[in-house]
Amino acid sequence: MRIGSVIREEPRDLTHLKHVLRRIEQDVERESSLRELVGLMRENRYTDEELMEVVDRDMIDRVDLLNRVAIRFYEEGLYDHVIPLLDRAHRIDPANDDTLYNLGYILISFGQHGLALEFLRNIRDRDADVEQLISLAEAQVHG
Amino acid sequence: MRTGGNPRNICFVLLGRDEAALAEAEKYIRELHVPDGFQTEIVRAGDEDNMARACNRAMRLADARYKVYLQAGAYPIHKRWIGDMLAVFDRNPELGLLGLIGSRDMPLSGWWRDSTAPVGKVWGRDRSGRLARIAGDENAPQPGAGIEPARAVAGFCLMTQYDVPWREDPGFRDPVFCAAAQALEFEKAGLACGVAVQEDPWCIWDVPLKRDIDRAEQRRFLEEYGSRLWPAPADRPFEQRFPLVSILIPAYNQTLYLREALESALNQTYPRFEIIIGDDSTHPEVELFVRPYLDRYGQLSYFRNVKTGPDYGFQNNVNCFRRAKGDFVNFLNHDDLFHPMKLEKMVRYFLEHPNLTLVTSTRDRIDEQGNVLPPTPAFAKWVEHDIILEGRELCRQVLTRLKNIIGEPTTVLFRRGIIEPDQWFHFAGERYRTIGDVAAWFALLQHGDAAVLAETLSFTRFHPERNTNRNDVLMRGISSWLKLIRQSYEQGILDESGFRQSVWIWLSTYQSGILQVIRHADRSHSWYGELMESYRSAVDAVTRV
Repeated sequence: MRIGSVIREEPRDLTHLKHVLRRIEQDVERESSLRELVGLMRENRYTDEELMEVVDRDMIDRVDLLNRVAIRFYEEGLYDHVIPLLDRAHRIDPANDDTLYNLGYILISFGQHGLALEFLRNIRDRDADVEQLISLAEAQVHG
Repeated sequence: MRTGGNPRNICFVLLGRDEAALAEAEKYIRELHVPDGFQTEIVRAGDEDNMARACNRAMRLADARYKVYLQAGAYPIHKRWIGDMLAVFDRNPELGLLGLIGSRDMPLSGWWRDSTAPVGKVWGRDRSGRLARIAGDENAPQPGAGIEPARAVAGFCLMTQYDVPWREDPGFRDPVFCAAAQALEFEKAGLACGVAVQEDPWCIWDVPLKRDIDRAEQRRFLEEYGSRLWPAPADRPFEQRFPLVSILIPAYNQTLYLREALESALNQTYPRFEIIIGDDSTHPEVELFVRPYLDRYGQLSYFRNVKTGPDYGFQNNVNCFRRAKGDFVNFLNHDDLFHPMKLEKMVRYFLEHPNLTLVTSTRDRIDEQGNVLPPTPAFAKWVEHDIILEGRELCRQVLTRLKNIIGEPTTVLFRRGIIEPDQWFHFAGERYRTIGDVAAWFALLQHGDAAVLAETLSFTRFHPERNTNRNDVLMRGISSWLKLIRQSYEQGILDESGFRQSVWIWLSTYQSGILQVIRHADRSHSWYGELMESYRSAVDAVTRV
């Protein structure tokens, strides 16, 4: 018998993460809560999976929240976390224009122009920003 | 009653022990928009076991006419909450207590969630544990005064514009009874209760859904407030006001649905019932499953059915019935479900109408997962409002449709002592091997009236293993319907013309099926001869001059 088989992993208490995310979602001390979340993720206090578990189970406007958090993570350089969050938002609502735009924007910044175009072309309500991103990506793809 | 304090102040009273949740709630309160000329304060009411005492202390401390009592786990998210609340109170001076979600009636459990008539909305936990929009009928017309009348309101958020002291003496630990008592105290003071009309929920209520009714606490609640909620005279002993109901569960070889069935029985809002499980299984799974429940619930008993003859499934039903001590009896098939208020609503009818022998209701069909299925003709709702029928008239209603519109054993609550247990599934002295439930209802209905309630109060599960899906059961059922018509004629329920009409209906319903059987079926089936004999006698009956 190995020791790992007798130590049972307790489910992690995600209450604090839930409180922070809910404040961001409900616009309660939003700015400081976003800063707190960035700090928590930078210190690896929670995983992406745990963050998304809380979003799935405990939040109301999940797509908006995932986009909001993803943008802040991108701005703060937490790049590894950004795509998983946007991917989850896209799976919840594949037609959400904000998610499609953010995925396109971030994929372009990562040099994934072809993939970015797949998302950007699905945006229904195209404004000048969207058209500009599409042109940029197309120029890169087609040389 | 008094208007407690400064009319320009709103006090948020925070209740409970979860420090992290209360600290969070304060953040949400501080971000609410405060109308000009008003101010807010927050009072922590302490962590007393006695919620009423904590509320009274907060009431004394606060210098505010308007109070919002919030339990730990409630988060106000509607930024214009205060202004909207003040507008509601301003337009409704008779309004004492305002909640966010509740119910038009007050179940005997005190809990709005048990009701069939919820009103209002909140973001709360659904059955899967996820946060979801919990709401009453969102399509109902919205009242103009900003409130929907409610008798029970959820205790996580109670708003007041008058101070009515909270009753400390019953010492309720369960916040549900505490809130229910306070709603009834406002009612006693001549003030109205309601829930706010909200476009989107004003609040998140983030606590687990599950509630186990503390029956001792419920008894104290009903001894205190029963006269407002229940028709029996308040001066009678509790046992007479709430007659005993026996819930009988014949169980066989499965615990998946049995768990849900049993919990739907244990969660009844009605305060006095026994549950008897008769186990007919071929393995010990049910016995092992039931054991922890037996330790926990004194009203539950279990027996292993002794197999004495070939018909032991039926004998299990009879043996459950023999053990019943209740004034009223309700079978619960081991894969079906009760609505929480089933017994409460049905026993109330028995108390208000002493000539009833049975009470039935609309019932829904559900699938393996509990999703409601479209009704078949037998399950279609056939009364728009509750009705009371003379017993034999209900029999005639059944015979003109040839559908079991009364319901399955799960559906019906009946008075014990009218039919003997060994006469279960019998009518006019004859045993019915199919449609035995209809035969039992007919036997009961010879002795009094029936109430048919329009609301859905039970759920019948349809799954592939269900017995009634078997072809032989269906074929025998056709013959049994004709036997029931004939016996109803012999018993004087149907006159000559009614008899012939019912036989015509039988023929027109089943003739094409019977002809198919004649053409294609294997004549060695045990039911074949009986079916042919039924057909010949039906043709004979309608062609006889």
